[in-house]
Amino acid sequence: MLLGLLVVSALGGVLYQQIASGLERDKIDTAQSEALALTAQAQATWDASTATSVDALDLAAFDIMRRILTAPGSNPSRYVVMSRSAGNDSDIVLASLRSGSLDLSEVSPELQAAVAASPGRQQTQMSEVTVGGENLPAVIIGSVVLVPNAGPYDLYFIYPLGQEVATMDLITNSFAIAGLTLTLLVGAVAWVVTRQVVAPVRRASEVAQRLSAGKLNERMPSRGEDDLALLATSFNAMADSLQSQIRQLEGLSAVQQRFVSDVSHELRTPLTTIRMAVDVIHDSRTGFDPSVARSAELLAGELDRFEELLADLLEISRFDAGAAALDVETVDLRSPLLRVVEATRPLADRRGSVVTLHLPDEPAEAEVDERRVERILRNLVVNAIEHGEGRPVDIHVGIGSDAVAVVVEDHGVGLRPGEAANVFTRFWRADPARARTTGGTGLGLSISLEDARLHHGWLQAWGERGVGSRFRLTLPQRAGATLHGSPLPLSPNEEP
Amino acid sequence: MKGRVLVVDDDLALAEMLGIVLRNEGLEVHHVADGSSAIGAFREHRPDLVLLDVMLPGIDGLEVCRQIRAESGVPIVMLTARTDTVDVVVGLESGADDYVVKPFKPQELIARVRARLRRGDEPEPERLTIGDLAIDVAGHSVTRGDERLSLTPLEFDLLVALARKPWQVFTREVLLEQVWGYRHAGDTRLVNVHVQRLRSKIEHDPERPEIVVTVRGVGYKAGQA
Repeated sequence: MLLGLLVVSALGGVLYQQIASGLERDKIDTAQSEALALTAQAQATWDASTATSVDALDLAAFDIMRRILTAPGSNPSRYVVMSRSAGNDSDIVLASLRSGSLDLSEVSPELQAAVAASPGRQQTQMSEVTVGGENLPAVIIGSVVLVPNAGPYDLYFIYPLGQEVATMDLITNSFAIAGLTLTLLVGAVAWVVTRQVVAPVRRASEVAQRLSAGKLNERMPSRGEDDLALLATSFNAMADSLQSQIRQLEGLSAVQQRFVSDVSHELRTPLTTIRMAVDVIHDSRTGFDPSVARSAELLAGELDRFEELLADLLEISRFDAGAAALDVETVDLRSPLLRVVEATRPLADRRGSVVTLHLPDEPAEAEVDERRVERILRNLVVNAIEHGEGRPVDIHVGIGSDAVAVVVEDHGVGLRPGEAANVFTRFWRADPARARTTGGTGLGLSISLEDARLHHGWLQAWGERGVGSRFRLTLPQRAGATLHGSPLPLSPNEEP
Repeated sequence: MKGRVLVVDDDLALAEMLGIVLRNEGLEVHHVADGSSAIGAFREHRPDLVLLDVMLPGIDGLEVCRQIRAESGVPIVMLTARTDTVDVVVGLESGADDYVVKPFKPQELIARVRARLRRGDEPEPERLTIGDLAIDVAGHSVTRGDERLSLTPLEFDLLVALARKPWQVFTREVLLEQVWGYRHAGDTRLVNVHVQRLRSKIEHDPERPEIVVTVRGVGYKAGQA
């Protein structure tokens, strides 16, 4: 729009200049030839004149001025001034004459000097005159006539360019109107082009934004056969492909989650029947043949493992499906710890480990889901006893400004470098070659880690070969708060 | 242990196995396989306890539970395959006294059943007061002035447990052991749900309980008379 305006102005300016100078040159040409003719006519009249006296000459001069030189009309096209030339030394002095309101003062001294310097030639000058209170450019032409007996007299023809100025004004107005119209036209054309080209691109951008916001049904309208229609078609094809892929993935994920959940639940009813049947058989095994009795024992034992595995799988699938929810209340961590130690005492006695609790005197309170925290603690303590090789297990509780921590430490085989990161991996075993004498499903620590994460807490492992391993659970005191540190060190060499 | 048990379960193998285990305990067992005939069987046999599967064809277990609860305070133990908080709480709120999660051990089930049937074994005359309520333990009645309040046996046991030791704060675990008969840790949501139900029946304003008072971070106790 602005560019259009500039171009139109520049073009208009150049045209105006050319027209103006053309008009001016034309006027000068006309003025020069008219002045030449008039001067010749005046000279001829003078030559034919027989007047000799001053009065007669004045009269003749007046007559010539009135009849020949003065232009007709109240608004004459020229003004004529006659005055005695600078070099005239005749005794007869005629009065200066003028045809209208302009006199010799309008004629510049330079022109007068030029006329005096070469009397035989016409002199032309552009100047400004005041006619009727209006400043107008004018062409002034100077020439000389020889008045018989009175010597040379200068004739100055003043042609005001009033007509031309008016013409130029008209042209200016026309140009302004034309320019404005043209600019508006350019603007309109630009607008139409924008509508045709930019608007579809903009719409494409909007549709793309809506698509990325998840509204997968958004499409671009596609009309005609131009490039934009092609863009719309390709865009829609891309959206179709994206949509179908996303739908497929969503479907797969939902189906998988449903499947895991359904399988787990469907397994439970027959498993319950088997469980009860096995228990009935197991309870009456004393009356059986020894091999059948032993089989009943093995069956019962393996069924326990199977049930644990199923329960853990179901728990993991619940985490994977994002269906795990926290049931938060203020809990003094010492009480679940005491329960866990009490419950694991038979196992510790079997392994010969002494579990020592190092509890603070003040309550270690935090807003947690007690069931989940107790499950984490039970997992850690059972792990420590099972991998502690009969050596003592120590449990420390630390209270910080915004967090509580429990460290469970054993002095067993410990962990090799790099294993600390692996212990939370599902079904990971520290030593695959080692006999699976220890129980557990291989999911315990994975579930514990998920439980800790659900609390926005940390569960970390540290271990050294032959020294033992430490597991640290850190939980924020206020539910949902972010942890900045733990009140207990993870490794024994580290300051908290 | 004597008593009649109604088993409502659509899985015939499980129902038969339940029958074997419960009969071994000396109980009389009746079985129906779908929800729509459950209420009829309940009226016919007048069982002392109902074992109810949550997932049933026809009318589902929760609805059966509501229907039975509408006409009787008989102990109801739900059998559920789901342990999600919502499922358990919905089950308890529809009126079940307790629930057992599949797969369960027979001893566990029998302990639950025994705890619910045990009541009535010690009919020693005993009168207790809690708040402005009078409790006749042998007569199984709770009265406020002349008005007799209708409680289920479980709610009655819960109230009696609190009233017998008004100076003691009961943790949820202790209540689970004394009222529900859990020997190991149980689901404390059982206590929460049933305390709410009890309060809705006995408190003047259940939002501001005065008879069964919460002790924050510990459990519950009887309010001052």
